[in-house]
Amino acid sequence: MNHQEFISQVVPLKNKLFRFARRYLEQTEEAEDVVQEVFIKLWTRREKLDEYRSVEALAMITTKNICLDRIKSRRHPVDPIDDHRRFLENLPEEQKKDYSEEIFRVRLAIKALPTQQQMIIQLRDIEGYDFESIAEILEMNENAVRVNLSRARKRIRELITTSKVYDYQRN
Amino acid sequence: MTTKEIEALLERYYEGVTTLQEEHSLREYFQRKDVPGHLKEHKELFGFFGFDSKGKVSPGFEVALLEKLQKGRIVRMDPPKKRLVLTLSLAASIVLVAGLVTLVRLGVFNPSQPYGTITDPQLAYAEAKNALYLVSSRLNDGLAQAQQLETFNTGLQKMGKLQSFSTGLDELTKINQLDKYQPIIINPGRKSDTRP
Repeated sequence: MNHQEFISQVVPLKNKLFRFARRYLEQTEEAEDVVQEVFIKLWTRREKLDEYRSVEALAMITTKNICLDRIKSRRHPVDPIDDHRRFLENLPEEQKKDYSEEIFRVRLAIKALPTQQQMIIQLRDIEGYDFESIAEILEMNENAVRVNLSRARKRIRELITTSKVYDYQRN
Repeated sequence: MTTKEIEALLERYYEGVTTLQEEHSLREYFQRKDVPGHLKEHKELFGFFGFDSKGKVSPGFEVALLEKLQKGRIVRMDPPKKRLVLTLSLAASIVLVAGLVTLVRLGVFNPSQPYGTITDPQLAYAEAKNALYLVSSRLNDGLAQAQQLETFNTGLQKMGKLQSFSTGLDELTKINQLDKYQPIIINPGRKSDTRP
């Protein structure tokens, strides 16, 4: 893969990789750092990229691995309040007007899931990947992806409903 | 799409068996404003997916990245600690090499004036003998000093007698046992005090 191909085929993945990294790290700036690191890694190997069946899957797997490494070496867990404040600050203008309490509620519900289920939701319901690609990126088998996807969706529904009941009781 | 159809799709959606196409039409359906009340919670969910899929890197990201890639300024991204150790060890080795080079240049390792050689074997023998004599006489001096260590030894032997003192002390510790029985000896009738 030459420079031009890299720029036209790999760099456009930036937003997808960013959202994937952000789901893992829960921090906008760090997620951008990771995406940059992924591109630099792929760039140094660009001659060999053609050997891969899917560069996109490779980029996603690289993103996942860097994120997991970063989480492992973290000294402090992310502070949820601080995280939320920064999430709102870093929201692009065109997205700010769409942000609502409902969005916040779903976001919280997804955060409450086990990491792997969060990623399955991210890849399927937000990015629209097929099961085969999800299995490849998360390095698990397709059947486990299906089972966990169903579990995650049901759990989110449950959490949204209970948080509403809670709101209702509080008011 | 009718409400009935949507309900059926939703059921399959939560079982994880819908196709991407079907999920796409669900997302599209829930963008409408007039969703029936009992489907509102699903509207929230699909609304979130639509919202989150718009997340983007900050505007300057790509420009900065391309600049970095094209400048060829691609250094391996080691963690800061590792990099610091690397830098320090690099600096240390430079100092070491520079130091060695200066020492060699100053001629420390090969002095320009040799100590001299003796060609006459007779003279050489005499000189060597002289040198060895010198060494051995000094050696004897040292040995004489060491003789005094003997008195130290005698002292130590005398101290050995202290050993019997320590045995005596051991015997004395048995007196300790007495302490244990002391309360009993002093207060033999204590129990009887509490009697009515």
